[in-house]
Amino acid sequence: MDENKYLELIHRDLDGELSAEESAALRNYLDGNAEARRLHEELKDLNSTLGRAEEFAPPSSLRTDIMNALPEGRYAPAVAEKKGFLTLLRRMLEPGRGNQMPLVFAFGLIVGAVATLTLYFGVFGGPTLSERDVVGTVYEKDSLDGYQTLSTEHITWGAVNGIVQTRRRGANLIAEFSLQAPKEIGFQLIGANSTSIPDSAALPVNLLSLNYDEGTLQFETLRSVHVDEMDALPQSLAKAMLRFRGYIAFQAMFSAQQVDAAPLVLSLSNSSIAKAHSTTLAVEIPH
Amino acid sequence: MAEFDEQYYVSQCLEGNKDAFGFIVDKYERAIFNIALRIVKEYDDARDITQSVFVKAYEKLDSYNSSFKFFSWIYRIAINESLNFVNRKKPDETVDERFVAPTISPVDQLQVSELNASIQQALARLKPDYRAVIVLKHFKELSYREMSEVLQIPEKTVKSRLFSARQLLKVILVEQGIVGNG
Repeated sequence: MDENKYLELIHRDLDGELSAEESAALRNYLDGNAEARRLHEELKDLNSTLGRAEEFAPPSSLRTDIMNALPEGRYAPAVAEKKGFLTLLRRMLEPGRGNQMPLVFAFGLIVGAVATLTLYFGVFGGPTLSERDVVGTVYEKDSLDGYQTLSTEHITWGAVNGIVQTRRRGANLIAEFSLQAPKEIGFQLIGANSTSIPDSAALPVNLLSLNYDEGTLQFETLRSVHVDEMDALPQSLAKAMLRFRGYIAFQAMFSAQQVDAAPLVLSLSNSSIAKAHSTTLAVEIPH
Repeated sequence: MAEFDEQYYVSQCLEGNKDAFGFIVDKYERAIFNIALRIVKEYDDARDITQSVFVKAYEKLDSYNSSFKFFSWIYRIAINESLNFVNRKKPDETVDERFVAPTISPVDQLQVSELNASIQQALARLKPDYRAVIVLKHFKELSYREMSEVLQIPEKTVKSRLFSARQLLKVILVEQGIVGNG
């Protein structure tokens, strides 16, 4: 091997890009060549010196200036997004967006109330409820006479597909879910509002009832879930559980009066525990 | 904690959510600014170049190929912007020149360590192409392959350029007494 080849080996050694064989060859060469050893040491010293260099802090105003300099209207909003923030929220919570949950919660909860429906995939994927945990009331499906349809969202999540429609009649708001799943699936419905939900309460204040057509619907004991680390979240959450296989339709009813002047956000999510990711669909119920 | 997902924010931008680009700025602002500053030397120039890099990246976001790493793509823009700036500023600089004249950089006016200032001055004496490979290897710790992607030159050329740049930088820093001479 000629001298230039060893020079290259010295550099590649510093960059950690030598094979074991090449490394052994270089050691042998350095053992018998003082000049090469000196060069090797100097370059190692250079590496170490550069490694100690500190990064420079950018100007504090740079980020703002960059954002202000971005051209307006470079990318047009998606057509569906023009209808509201439903699509935006749904896309924010597509698979792999777990860290977007606080953002969506903050978005929804500062304007009113949130209900989150979590789907646990898999034949035995969902949590199991014991009889003593089951409380609450199952109602007949409410008549939709006189209700005005506000929005329709289609759901396609792996094995689960269906539709969510939001309707309004006077002070009542309804989110109607029609879902299909070829294998057993568990739902967790979480209702939240800005007021405290006692452990013994049947339903969140603004969630009047939860109805169903088919399948088995169960309410778990409602209990407060304090989320201290997120200021934007409400003081408490309450949840209901249902499991089904095949087809299920149910309604979540809300009082428009209690939702105050802000829109109600209903968030439907699924999560695969095995895959450790979640998907959420958010549905706005406008006033 | 979920990993930062550039693809998601890119798609958000492409759907018209300009604010999503802020997350990309947050992630890469410091890196881009330092790449630019190491190459162009002047603090204010690095600032302008960093802004220009992000604006160009935003404008070209729809041409970003997601099969490549996002950092390679935005680093390439940063390197190109920096080199173009240097070339515009010093059109008489020749490729045969081993060293360019040392300059007094405003970096010296910053509250930086003596070592950092010495390194910055030494880098300033290398020609811009050499600064770029030193920055990518020693400050951004890219592999030869990643450097090849960023610079869009063969790996063989990356190694050749890097080894020459490093050799020259060593000589300068030995002269300055920053690196021992054995």
